[in-house]
Amino acid sequence: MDVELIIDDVQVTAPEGASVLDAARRAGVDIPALCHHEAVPAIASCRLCLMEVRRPGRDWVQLTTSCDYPVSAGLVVVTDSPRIRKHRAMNLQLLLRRAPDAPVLRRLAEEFGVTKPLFAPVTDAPLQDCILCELCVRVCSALGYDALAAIGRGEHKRIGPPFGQAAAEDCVGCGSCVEACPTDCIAMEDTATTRTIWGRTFDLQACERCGRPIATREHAAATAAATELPDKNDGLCDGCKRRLVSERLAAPGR
Amino acid sequence: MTARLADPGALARHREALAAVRSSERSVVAVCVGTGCRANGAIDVYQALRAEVEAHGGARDVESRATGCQGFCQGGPLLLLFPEGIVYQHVRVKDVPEIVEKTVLGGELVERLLYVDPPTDLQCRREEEIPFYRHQQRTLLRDNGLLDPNSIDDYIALGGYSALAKSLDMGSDAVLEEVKRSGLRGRGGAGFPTGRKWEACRKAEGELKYVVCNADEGDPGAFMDDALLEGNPHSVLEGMIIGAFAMGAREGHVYVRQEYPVAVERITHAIEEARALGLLGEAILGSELSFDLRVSRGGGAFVCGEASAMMASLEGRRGVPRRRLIHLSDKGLWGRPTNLNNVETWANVPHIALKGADWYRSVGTEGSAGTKIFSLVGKVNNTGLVEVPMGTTLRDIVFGAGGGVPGGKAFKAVQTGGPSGGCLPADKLDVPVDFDTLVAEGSMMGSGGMIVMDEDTCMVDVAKYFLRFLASESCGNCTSCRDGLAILHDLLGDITEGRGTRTTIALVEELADTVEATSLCALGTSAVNPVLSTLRYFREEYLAHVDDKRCPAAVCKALITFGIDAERCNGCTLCALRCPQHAITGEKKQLHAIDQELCIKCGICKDVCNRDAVLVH
Repeated sequence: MDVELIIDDVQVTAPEGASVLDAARRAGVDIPALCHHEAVPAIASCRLCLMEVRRPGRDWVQLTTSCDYPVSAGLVVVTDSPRIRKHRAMNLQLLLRRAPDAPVLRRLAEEFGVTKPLFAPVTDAPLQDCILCELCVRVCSALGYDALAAIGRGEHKRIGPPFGQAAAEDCVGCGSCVEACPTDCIAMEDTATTRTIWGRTFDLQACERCGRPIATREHAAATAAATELPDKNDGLCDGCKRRLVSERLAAPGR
Repeated sequence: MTARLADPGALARHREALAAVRSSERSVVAVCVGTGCRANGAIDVYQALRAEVEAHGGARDVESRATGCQGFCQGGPLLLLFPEGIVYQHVRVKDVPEIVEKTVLGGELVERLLYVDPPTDLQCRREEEIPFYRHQQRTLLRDNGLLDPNSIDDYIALGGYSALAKSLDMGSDAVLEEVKRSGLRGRGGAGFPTGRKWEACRKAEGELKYVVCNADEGDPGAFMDDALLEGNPHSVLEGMIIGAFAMGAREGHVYVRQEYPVAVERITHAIEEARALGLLGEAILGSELSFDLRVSRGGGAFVCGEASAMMASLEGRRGVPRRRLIHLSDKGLWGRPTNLNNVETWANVPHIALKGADWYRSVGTEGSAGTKIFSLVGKVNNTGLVEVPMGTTLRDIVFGAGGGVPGGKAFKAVQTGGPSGGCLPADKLDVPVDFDTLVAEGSMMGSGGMIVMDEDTCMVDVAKYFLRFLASESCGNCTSCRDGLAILHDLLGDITEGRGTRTTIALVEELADTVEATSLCALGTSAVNPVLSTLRYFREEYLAHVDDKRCPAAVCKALITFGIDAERCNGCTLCALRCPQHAITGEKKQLHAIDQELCIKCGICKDVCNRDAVLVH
C-alpha cells in the first residue's frame, strides 16, 4: 500500500514498509550510503545515511539511519541539517581510516567537507580498504551460497570464509561480492581459463562456440540447477546465445 | 521420587509431608558454595563437614547442605547454622571438627569464626546482627541460604510454587492485573514496566508465544543473576511459569551464558525436577496451562544481552542487534510474540503473585517499586550482594551495608549501571538509587553493578578500562561504535600516557557525541557514559593529566615517579631485595635510592615498605 510522507519539504508517495532511503532516492533525493543495496536486507552498518525523522503525533525529532527505517504514513524526514552533517562527517572520518584511498569515500569526504583526516589509517586490516559493510556477505547469502561471513567482534571484525577457513568452501566463484563491494577491496583474478577468489582457484567454462570464458564451472552448474527453462543453451556465452537466436530467426523455412 | 502433582491440593499435601519430616531435623548446617566462597575453598569445607557429621553418627538429625550465594562474599567461605541462625565466616577445613563438636553437638559458639563489626568491635552471632545484612531487606535472596538449589523439595518446603497455585486459581486476567499494578520494572537495566510488556504480549495475535529469561549477565563485577540462578533456580522458573500463564505462552527459553556453568547445570536440573512433578509440561497442576522450557547457552558475547541480538542468537544466527521495527511482544523469536525479562525480574513475580501488588508497592519508591539486588564490589569493606528497597541512598549501600572504604582511604566515586553506567562522586552519595534519579544524575541503574572507588583510583584510567571492555564487546556492526570506541580508548590512552592535550579532550568529546548519537543499539549509545560522566564530575583530573602531565591519584605510570623519603627510610633493604629490576640500591641502615632509568613503576617497593618511605609523585 502506498502512503504519503514528506522528505525535505516535498510530499512523496512510497510503498509502506519500504526503507526511507529507497523512497528518498526514488524521489530524487540522494542520501549517501555505502552499505545499502535494495536487493538485500539492510544492516545499517556504515552510519552515513543519517536523517532526522519525526513520526506523526510525536513532538520530538529522532536522528537515525534511513536505510533500515520503514516508510509509514505521515513521516516528516529531513536529510540535511548541521547535526546530520556533523555526525556524518565524523563517521566518514572513521571509515576513511579503513579505506583512505577508496574513490567512493574520497568523493563523499569532499562533498561533506572532510578535508583533514583526524585519525591515522588502519594498516593491519586483513582485507585492506574493507569497511566491514557486509554487502558481500549479504549478496552471497541472497544468492543462496552463504560462502562468506562476518567473523569476530569490535574493531577486529573481519570478512571472509566462515569460521576463518582459508578458502571459501561454498563459493562458486560468481564474483557477485566483487560487484557489490563499495570500496573494490575484494581480489578476483581471472586468467583465460581460471578464476581465483577467496582462496580458491576455479576453472572457467569456455563457450562451446567461441571459446570465451562464460563462468566458473561451479557457478554455471549452480545456475543451471536453479533455472528450469527449456533450451537454456548453458554452454554458450551471452553473445553466442544472441547469435544463435538470430540465426534461428533468419533460418530458411522458418 | 514424588509422583506428578495432579492439582494444587496435591502440591499442598506434598508440602505438608515435607514439613512433617523436616521438623524432626535438629539442625541444618548450610555451607555457601556460591562463586566467591567456592573460590575460597567452600567445596572442601562442605565435604569435610559431611564427613564429620557422618563420623558423629550420620545425617539423621544433622543435615549438611550446600547452598547458593548467601551474599556476604567478603566473609567467605560462609557457614550458616539453623535453627539458631548463627553465621561463621572465613571457615576453613581445619575449623570443621570444632564446629561440629562445639556448636552443632554442644551448642557452644566458636567465637573466632564470628563476624566482628570493625567500628564497634562487637561480635555478631546471627545474620541480623551483622551490619551487612542489617542494612538490607532481602526478599529475593532470603531463601538462598536456606535451600539446596538442587532440591525442588527444599523450595516447596519453604512455600515454593504456592504462588503458581494461587495464580492458577486467580486466573490469568487477575495475575496480569496484579503484576501491572505492582509497578514492577525490568531489572535488566531499561526499567520498562513489566506489566505493560506482558499485556502487549498477551494481546498480540498468535497461537504460539514465547517467554524468555535473559540470563546473559555480562557486566564486569556483576553477579546478581548468577546468584539467583545458582542459589534459587526455582524462584526464576516459578516466575516464568506464572508469566507464561498470564500471557498465554506455551514455550520458554532461558538464555544463559556458557561462562556460568553452575547456573546452566542448576537451571537445567531445576527444569527436569519441575517437569517430573508436573510443574512444567502438559496440564500443569491439573490446570489448562501447558508450558515447557529449554535452556539455551550463549557463547559469551556481551551484546547478546541486547534483545534483538539475543533473538538472533537463539535462532542460531550471529548475535548482532537490528533495529526493532516491531516490538518483540508482536514479533520476536521466530517472528512470534515474545516476552523477554531478566532473571531478577522473573524472580520478583512469585512474590507479587503471592503477596499482592499492594504489598509490593509498599516497598521502594513511587516510581520504582520493590527491592533491587546490587553487586557491591571494588574498594569497599563488605564485598557481596546487597538487596535493598529501591530509593535507598548510595551512602546507605556503600557505607551502611558495604561498611565504607577499607584502609581509612577516602571515598572517591561509585560506578553504577555496569560498564556503560556512570561514575558518581562523593557529593552524590545521598542520591536515592532508583531508575529515574540515576539517569538524571548522568548514570543509570543498569542491572545492578556497583563498583566503589577510593582516592587511589584515577578516573581517566577507569574510563579507559570500561571503554576497552565495551570496544572489545562491540559487535562491530556500526562504524561509530566499532571504530569510534576503539579510537576513544586510544585517545584516553594518550591522556594517561602523557601525550594528551586539551585538543585531545575536545576530540574525545566530539567523537563521543557521534558514537552516542549514531549507533544502533544501547551498547553503542550508552558506551560513552563512563567518559562523559567522568568528564562531567572529574574534569579537573583530566586537565591535570593534559596540562600538568600529572596523575593526581598516582596511577598512570607514564606520569609518576617513585622516590624514597630520606626522613623515613631506615635502610631495611626490603625494597631493594624485592625490586624485580634491581633498580634500588643502598647499604644496610643507609638511605636507599631508586634508579629512575631502571624503574618500571610496578609499585612493589611501596607495597613492601613498612615505614611508608616510598613516595609516588
